[in-house]
Amino acid sequence: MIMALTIGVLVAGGVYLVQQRGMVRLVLGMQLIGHAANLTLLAAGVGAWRGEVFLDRTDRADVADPLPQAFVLTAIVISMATATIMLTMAAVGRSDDTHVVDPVSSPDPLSLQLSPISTLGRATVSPQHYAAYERSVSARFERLRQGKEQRR
Amino acid sequence: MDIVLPLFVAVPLVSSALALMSPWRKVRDALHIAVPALSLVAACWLFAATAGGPLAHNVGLFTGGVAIPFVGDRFSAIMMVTTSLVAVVANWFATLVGETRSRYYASLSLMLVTGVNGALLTADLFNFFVFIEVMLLPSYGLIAMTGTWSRLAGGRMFVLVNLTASTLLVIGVGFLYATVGAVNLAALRGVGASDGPGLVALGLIVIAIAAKAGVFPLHTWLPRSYPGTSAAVMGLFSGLHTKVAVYMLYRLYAEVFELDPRWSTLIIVVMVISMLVGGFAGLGENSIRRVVAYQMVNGMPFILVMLAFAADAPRSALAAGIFYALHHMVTVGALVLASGAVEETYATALLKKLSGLARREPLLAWVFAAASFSVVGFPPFSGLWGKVGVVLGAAQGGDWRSWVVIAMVIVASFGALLSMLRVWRKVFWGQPMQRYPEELRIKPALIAPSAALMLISAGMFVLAGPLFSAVHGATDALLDTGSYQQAVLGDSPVGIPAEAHAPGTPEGGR
Repeated sequence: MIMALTIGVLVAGGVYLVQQRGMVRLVLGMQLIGHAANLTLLAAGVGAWRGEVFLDRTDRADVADPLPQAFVLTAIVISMATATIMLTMAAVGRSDDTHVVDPVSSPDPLSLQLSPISTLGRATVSPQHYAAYERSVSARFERLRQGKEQRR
Repeated sequence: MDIVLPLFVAVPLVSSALALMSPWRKVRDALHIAVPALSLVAACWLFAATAGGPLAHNVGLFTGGVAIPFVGDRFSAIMMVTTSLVAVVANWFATLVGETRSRYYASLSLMLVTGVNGALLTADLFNFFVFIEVMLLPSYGLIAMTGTWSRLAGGRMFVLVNLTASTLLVIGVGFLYATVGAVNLAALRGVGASDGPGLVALGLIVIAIAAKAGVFPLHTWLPRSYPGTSAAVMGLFSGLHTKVAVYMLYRLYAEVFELDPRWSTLIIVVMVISMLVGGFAGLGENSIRRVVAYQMVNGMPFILVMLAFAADAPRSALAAGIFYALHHMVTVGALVLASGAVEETYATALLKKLSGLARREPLLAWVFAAASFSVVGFPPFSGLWGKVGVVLGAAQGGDWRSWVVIAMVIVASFGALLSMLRVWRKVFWGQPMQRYPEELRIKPALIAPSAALMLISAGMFVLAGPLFSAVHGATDALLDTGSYQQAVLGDSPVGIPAEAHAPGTPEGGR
């Protein structure tokens, strides 16, 4: 029962978080759902305490089912890898959430706060727009440089 | 010879590591084309070698039932031939357009091939989940690495949908193990045809795989995320991702559900809506690849609706579906890569920005027209036999279901025709473009990959006879669940669930 309740709470929290907008919340929500899945896999074995899976140390009747534990181990590794990738996307795509205007086709590219590590594709925008974007980036760098020199 | 089967996974995996370590771009370029090509040749060999029955290998030589098996039969082989072919051509295109300047492209695409080969050969549902993840993790990387600024928003959707579907898949596998006590496809033979808690677990698994196949109502992620990536990556995904899901749905329905006719109406309702949405939604899109993405949504139900008629005439219905899958991979790959050639040269695929390409780029116009003909179902391309097969397969039912499906196949194909006509009218007809230098032309080399795929599609039209006999061979292998089970489990298996048909019992309870 406690297992089912825990899984239910985890899924509820995960579903709530996945519906939020920020990428970090999405990552946390997916992690909660992933934990719920792992507990479900564990519950597929026998939930009660069981002995370790060595027949010379545990009686055959008390031994745990090793297969769900192997499943969970694999699933944990995979969910760790996906969490890494999604956190990377959260870091790279800082402006990909509510920002739906194409930064390079907006009337004043300079006013947009582009993430320093955001990249633009080669073949997606017209040459003029791309040139405007390049100008905006170099202008920003120029402003940064001037600010640094003034501080000196 | 069954020891070869793990090599289908091991060789691409090792070459992925080699490509990662190689500092020379030429080596990486060679590897990511040569290894799928090798996989293509090996899959042809597998097709020939499994004429007598499936090959199976239990990794570690454990007893059947507790082992993790690889199985190759003609159905796996024919799917692997086509996925490898699409991978070769998409990677060729990626090399031509300079996608491989990024150091990780070759390595990630080889990892993707690893996952696809593994998913097509495994006979264990949990292992299928693992290979799906092996397939998806490099895809997240490929999406985030290539394409347009919108790739990150699209990539986020791709990651979330696929991760949720994978989690649902693994929950389903957990429930299946808890209720039935096995996750081996061969040991589960017939479980889906019985009533019991195992059926609910299988339902979760089917929902998860259908989400990955992009079937209504879970199709919306596909046309929103694929066009954000580059054309080479979308070409790679179009042939690989959704088709692995199709493969597993076919395998599950034949092996575990034993073509249970109970689900026929449900399948038809879902697939008919999916067909219509895919056929007509492309009319509202604004770039070539977005329209093509809806052609993918349109094509998937043509394959899967055949499952509804599998109980009436298993051989002809499933063979039509498999043939349509092969045709669809080749044709959509050609459409995506042709669009990619336009994008790489004219820096846009927006319909409103392109016009008059038919005079400017006659070769590309021919290729694109050929691919549009094929995707709609006109001769002389593979699409004609694909749709003829689907209609004839559906007609085997002989009741209202056949009427509904055949009528909707025609209506949905008309929608596809309108979508492709709209692209043709906007992009290939009209005034010559003024914005580009007069001498700017698409390099012939960029058209070569899509032209090659269209030649293959035309070849599939001309050689439909031999191809259909190969597809019938694959269908027979798919339907011969008894020898599949025998090959996987061996003579003295352990842990066969009580609900399943034990080895040696005849076909199903039907």
